[in-house]
Amino acid sequence: MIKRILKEPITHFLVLGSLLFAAWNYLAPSQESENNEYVIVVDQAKFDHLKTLWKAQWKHEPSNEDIAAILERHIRKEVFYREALTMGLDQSDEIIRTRLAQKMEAVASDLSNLMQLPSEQQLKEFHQARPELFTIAQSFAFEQVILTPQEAQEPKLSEIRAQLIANPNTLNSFENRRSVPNSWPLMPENTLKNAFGGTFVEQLAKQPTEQWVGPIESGFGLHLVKIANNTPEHLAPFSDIKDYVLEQYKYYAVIDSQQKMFETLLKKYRVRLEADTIPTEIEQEFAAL
Amino acid sequence: MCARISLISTTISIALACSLPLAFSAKAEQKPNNAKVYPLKEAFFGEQHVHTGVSMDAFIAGNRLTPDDAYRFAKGEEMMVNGSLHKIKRPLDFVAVTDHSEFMGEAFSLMNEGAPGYDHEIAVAFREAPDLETALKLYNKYVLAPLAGGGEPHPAFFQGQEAIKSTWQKNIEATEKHYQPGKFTTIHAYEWTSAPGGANQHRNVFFRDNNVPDMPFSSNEGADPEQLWAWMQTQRDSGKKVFAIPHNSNESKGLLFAEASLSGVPVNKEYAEKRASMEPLIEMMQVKGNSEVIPNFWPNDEFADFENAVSIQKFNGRAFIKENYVRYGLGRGIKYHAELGVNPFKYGFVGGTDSHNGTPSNVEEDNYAVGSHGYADQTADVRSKAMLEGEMLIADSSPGALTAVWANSNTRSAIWDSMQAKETFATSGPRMKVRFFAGQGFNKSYKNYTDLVKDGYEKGVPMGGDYKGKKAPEFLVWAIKDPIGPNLDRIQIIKGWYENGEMKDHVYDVVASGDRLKADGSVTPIDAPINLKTGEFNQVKGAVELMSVWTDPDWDPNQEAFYYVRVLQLPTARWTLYDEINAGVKYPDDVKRQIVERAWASPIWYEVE
Repeated sequence: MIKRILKEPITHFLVLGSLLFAAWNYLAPSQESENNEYVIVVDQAKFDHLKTLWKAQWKHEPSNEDIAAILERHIRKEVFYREALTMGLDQSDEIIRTRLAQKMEAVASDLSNLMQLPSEQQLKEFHQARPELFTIAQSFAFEQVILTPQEAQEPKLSEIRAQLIANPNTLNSFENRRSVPNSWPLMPENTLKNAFGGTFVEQLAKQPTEQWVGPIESGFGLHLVKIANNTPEHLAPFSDIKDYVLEQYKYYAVIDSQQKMFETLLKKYRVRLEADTIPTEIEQEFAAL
Repeated sequence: MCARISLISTTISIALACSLPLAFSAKAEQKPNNAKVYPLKEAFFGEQHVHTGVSMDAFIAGNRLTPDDAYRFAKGEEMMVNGSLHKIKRPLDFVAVTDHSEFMGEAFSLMNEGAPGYDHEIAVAFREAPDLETALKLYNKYVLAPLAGGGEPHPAFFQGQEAIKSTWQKNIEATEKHYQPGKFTTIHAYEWTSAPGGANQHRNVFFRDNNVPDMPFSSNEGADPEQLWAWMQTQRDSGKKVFAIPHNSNESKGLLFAEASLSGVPVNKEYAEKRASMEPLIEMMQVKGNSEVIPNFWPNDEFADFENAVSIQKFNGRAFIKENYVRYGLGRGIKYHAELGVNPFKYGFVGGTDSHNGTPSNVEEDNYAVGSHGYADQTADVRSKAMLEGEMLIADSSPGALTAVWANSNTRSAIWDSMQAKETFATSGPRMKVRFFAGQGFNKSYKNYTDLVKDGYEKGVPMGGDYKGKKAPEFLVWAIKDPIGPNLDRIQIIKGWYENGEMKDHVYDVVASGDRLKADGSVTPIDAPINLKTGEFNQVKGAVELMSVWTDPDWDPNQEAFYYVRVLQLPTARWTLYDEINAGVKYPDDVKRQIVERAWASPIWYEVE
């Protein structure tokens, strides 16, 4: 059980999160540690921290002028911040609420950025959990020739089919008609729909493999086709697309982490919708959360 | 799935970035280039002009997508666009993200929590603009006014050059990350946005590889195109390869194809040479209209009435003048060649969207659910009633155009080189293909496509080139329909020439489907209306493929001339009709529901030496 919890990404978030906040508190000592609320101390730790922030942003050492600006900005902010707290301006202020909430959401994004690279096991689980990202649609590999309307009529049609069966080189005399290649390596149906138009792919799906069949119609005209490979829709094997899974994992980790953190944190709260004018179905939706 | 509005850097993460290993730090990737080679070239389709949330006007209009997101969208992924999930039906072969260089520094402060300036009151106001009205007020005050040259060029939260470099660096990293030679090409690019007195002088700046400057040149540093070219020259001198592409000549108040430089010096040889060297291409069409021609000045061109965005003349003191249109510019260019020995307007054609949604080539008329300008046109309801502030009626706008490049492979160098050589065509959205060669001795017909193309290159020059022959040029033209679109109506060649001090042009129908092309050169119109209830196009009429060899009957070796191709397909439903069908809205009666989509192939020139 403990082991499973330790493996949960959200545990990583939370552990990392508390580490972050601990580090933050260490680097930026809180107000309570000050004896006098009207003293603003910039000790070495604080100054180094401010400088680190600045350097992370601007990628070089601050000049003396920059240091003056850094200190001025910090002190100004501190003065106004403390005065505002004294006046109780933080209480029920919509902007501050919004900013704090946004900040917490951003923390969630950052946590996913700071996380260690996912383990192979985690990537495998992601691969299984998000099949829509890794499914390869039904795919076909085939050869095709485009026929003129005359060639699509019997007896010419049967003649051409017989020639194609008897001699594969016959294909050359139909080379690149309409600029469409004769040989198509394995391609997913969406690519083929866009490349051929009409109902070509729907008809292709109904044909047997390894024999010349048709004519079937596309946006370009009538075709004889010989399907070499008809692969049904399937989840791409993890080992074939590991790098791609990692790429997608990283991208979605940022997006998903906010939602996951929200869902986790929400569990700490009971939400009571007491207003009378909330529509019942919406009330039920929220009750199900 | 939640909206993609995450803010990546907080103060906390910056503090700890030095102590914790950043698991996902961007690593310089080696790109093995074993891209498939097409000896006779292939048409690659892509986006030449798109803005992400990094462009401040896009950000204000609600766009939070990054270049990273835009590239994903281009590859066919579904993205959250202004609160709706959206994807294009056909992935692209290449994309250039062209964020505005102006205000790139501001974008860094706006988008990156913890960055200096993030908490400035104006930055907060931008980020938290609750509705379009508020956003527009901010846009006018902090973007439009400075761009028009009136006020302080930066809002107060701007942090200086380093912020510009940081944003540009992030765009560079995303562009590097998504480049897959042979499969998907990304191009380092940006937009230089100058509009003195509301006259559009905008240019997209394209780099050949990842040898790029650490900061883009913006109109804040120089609002005159000559200043941009001077900067580009210093880039070239330092080994970088770069060109620029002007757009929206229709909004240029006559300044794009002017008689004098922006500073008032009459166009001279030096100016003409510099411009010709810096600007091989022009954007023919985008969301804010088609700049080829308009019926007022080309009454004899029966297909001139196409996505002209007529309401742009109601704003910014613009008017419809002949000097705003590409066909005029091409004509003025050959006149300059006669006068100065150099053609400053020797432009090949590309298309783009100028989408401010971070959605490259979202050009499908039947898939325009989210519009292209954030809040301003994000629902059918808004689109049927509203204006694009300072620009036009939304009903007049178009989903935009597409660029096609004939290149040896789908790689940066191959695509950039073919763009530089103008072997390009623009389409109003569909993916028809066009070949165009000028030479001598072409066959009347070819056994197959391969033979046709080989002969084209062997006996002639392709689109974008110069015909150097001594006899009347023969033009080999070929086009094939978009496989998922309707059949083709006809191919036209537009000739412009300079005769006795006058610029003239004429539209020739060179081949039409069926036997509609008559001996006198006219074409019987094709009657293939769309189904107004469903939006379906006619499946039967027209031609899948058209080809012809056409010889100019009036060629005079002493006349400067240009020739470009226009391919017309059968009528299809416009996005406005799909809005009416799908969302139940109603557009005013004079709004078009049906259009003739088309492709324009870059000109071939004949110059008198």
